[in-house]
Amino acid sequence: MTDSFENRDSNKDELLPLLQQLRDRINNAVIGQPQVVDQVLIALLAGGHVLVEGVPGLGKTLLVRTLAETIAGNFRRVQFTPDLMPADITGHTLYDMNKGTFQIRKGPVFTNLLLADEINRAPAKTQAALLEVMQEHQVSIEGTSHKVSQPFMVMATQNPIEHEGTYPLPEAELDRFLLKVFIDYPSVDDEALLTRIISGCSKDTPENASSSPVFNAQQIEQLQQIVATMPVDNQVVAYAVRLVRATRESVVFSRGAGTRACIALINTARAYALLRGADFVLPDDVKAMAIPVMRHRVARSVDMEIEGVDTDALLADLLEQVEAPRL
Amino acid sequence: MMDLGKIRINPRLRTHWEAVDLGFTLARSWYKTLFLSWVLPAATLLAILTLIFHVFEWPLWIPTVIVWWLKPLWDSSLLLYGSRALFGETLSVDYSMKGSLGFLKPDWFAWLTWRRLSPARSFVMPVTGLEGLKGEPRSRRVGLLTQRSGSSSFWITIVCLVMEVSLTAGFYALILILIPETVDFNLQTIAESESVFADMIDNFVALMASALIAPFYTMAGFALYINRRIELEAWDIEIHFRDMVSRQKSRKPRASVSKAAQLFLGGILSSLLLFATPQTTEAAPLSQLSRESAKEQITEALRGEDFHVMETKTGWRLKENPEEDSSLSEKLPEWFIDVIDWLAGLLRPAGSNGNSSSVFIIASFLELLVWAAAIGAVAWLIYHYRQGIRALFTSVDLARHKKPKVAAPEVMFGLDVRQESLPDDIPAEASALWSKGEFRAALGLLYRATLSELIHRYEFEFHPGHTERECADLVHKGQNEEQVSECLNNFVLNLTEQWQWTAYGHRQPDTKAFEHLCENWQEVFPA
Repeated sequence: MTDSFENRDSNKDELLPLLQQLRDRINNAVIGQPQVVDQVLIALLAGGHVLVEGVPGLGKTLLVRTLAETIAGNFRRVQFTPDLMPADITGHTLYDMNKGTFQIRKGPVFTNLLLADEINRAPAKTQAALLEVMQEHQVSIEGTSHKVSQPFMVMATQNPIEHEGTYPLPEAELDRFLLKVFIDYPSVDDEALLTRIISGCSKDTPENASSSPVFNAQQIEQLQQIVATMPVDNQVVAYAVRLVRATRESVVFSRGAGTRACIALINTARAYALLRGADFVLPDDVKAMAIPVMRHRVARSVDMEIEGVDTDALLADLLEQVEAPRL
Repeated sequence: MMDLGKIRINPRLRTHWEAVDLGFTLARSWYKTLFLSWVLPAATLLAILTLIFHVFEWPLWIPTVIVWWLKPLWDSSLLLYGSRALFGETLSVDYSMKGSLGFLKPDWFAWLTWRRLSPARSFVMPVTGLEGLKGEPRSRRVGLLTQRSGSSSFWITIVCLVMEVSLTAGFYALILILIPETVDFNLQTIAESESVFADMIDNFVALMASALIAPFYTMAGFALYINRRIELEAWDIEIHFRDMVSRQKSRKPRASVSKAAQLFLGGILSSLLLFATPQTTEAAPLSQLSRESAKEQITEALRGEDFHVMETKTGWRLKENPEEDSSLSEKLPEWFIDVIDWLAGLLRPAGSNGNSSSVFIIASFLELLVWAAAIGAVAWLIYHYRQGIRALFTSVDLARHKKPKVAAPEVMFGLDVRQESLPDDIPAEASALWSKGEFRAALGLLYRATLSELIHRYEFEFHPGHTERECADLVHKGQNEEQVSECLNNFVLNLTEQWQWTAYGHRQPDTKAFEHLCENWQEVFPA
């Protein structure tokens, strides 16, 4: 047992600088979105999936592609459309006339990083095709389960502006996403820098940066293992549970977060702690992750919807009310 | 002087709402002059007040309230113009503005104080300005005028108020509609901000809404007033007969029956008018007949068929039962009637004949109750919001910087932070626990005592949701605002770090660091 902890610590000492390097690489490519980059990395470290909401053209695809490059993994992108079928995502069997047998044609989910672009444009049955692979990391085709390669992460996007011809994600699907991340326009300086780089007015082009992977799949799994075994005090766990339960008891929400939210809160708090180089989880880590973990798991009450109060504002208010742990 | 012969409207009897329509038509006819007469003095005062309030950093909504309160002053110039224009005289904007001061002079104080919120203002104001009545005669006159037109004047006020509010809301709605969706513009944020520009826009919009509606409001009330006078003083009949007399004068005199009839009717009318309104009407010197011959002709005319036509009309009217009234009065005790009579005497509308019918007694009593309730409600509101009202009149800077002192909590984060609950010598007690190997308890005591000191001595306001890191950040912020010393800030940071390591990291704390904290305790929290 002691050996395993020592191994873990030595691994951590090796991997943490690499993690910082990975973070810098992605931030160099995706300019002006450090918080989004951090949250996507947290989801990766915690072994979860991310739902990103933001208008088109903010670098969502670039983010996933860069992440895939830096972790030496495969990257696939699926544009969700109203006529997309479940088999187009998971895969299907084809009859091989020459061999006289059925051949399995694996879908785009068999990758390390899957970008499900505009996921809410596909109907519910197509969205549901992701349920199994997101939860179990496996796909059932013709009754046979096929494991997807590790690490595996789905990053789905949806457009907050257009509602015509879209299908809101069902609650079960939303609950599968570890985090919901808002991607917004970068600041003025970042946008100016981005414009200079892309338009060739600056020498600091992303191409100048190294394109070699920072992590291999095994190292990512080691990081995920470190996160999964990071100690969490009972007070902190109790705090996470209090936060989640408060959403169920609050009158401002018609639907509170489920038990998956408690687990997600602790896992993401661990990843957050690792990202800041800590060995243990603080209540601050839980608090920092509470809004991205819970914002898609709760539903505002009718009153709050009519008044136009944002879910994030309601959650922030709740965070101020729920007692933080003490002695 | 008022010359009915020059009146610009058809002086016929109108219903109340026809009269209001007439007022609106008059307002449209003279709108430019009326609008300018209202808006120029009001806008000038508003601009000056806004400038003064801006310089002294007082709330900028107060000038709007002042200008709004002075509405009777601005309305008086409109009434002056309307009263002259109705009889063919045309005043300049300049003259009507200057004349308005004299117009309202007799009881300007009443109009700007207790009569300011009168719902029949536009209807009653001409009594002061045009008839120059004051005191008891004015009260009697107002009572007579409002007997049948009071409710209409009340509804004019309500409708115009709604129109003003709608115009104001419409202006903001128009801005919102015209702003493209891509522009990040939040009206609420601007309204809640302390932007001087936003306050000035608010003042301007409120002024323009009042100025646009004021001509209609004032002229509608004025037309109601004129209509009531036509009804009471029979202007229409007087004017018709004046016309007849003037036509008669223009013809050669002929001794005929028709002449006699005209003279007879003219005589009656003149008598009636002189009797009804001695202060306003002028009797025409019609009669050149002797009293006896006129009487004979009148008697002869009264025998004619025209005066013996029988006509039956049916309709509904309120049943009057004097017996019931008297029985009700008998049931009431004498002293009660006396008290109510006395109160009614104070409140009795002018023009009433003084008969204390039971209906009138009950109405007066109810009126008294309503007034008492209204005064009580206003007094209660003032008492209830006395702090806010006081804050309104105190300096803005004080309001911004002086926070109301909140009572220090006894329990925070589930910890007893009362100073009585802590030992006298914190470092000694913590060191004793440390030496027993109770590291967590020792640090916990230091942390709890620090929180208690921060709350009671430095008046920090921590919320239940604050984590240890957030509490430390607040102390750091306090250092930037010179609320706490750098030494205390560093102490809190170190203690928080040690506490987090012990409580959440399950690490054994460094003894040297603990001793250092105990040594610093006396320094940062001297007895």
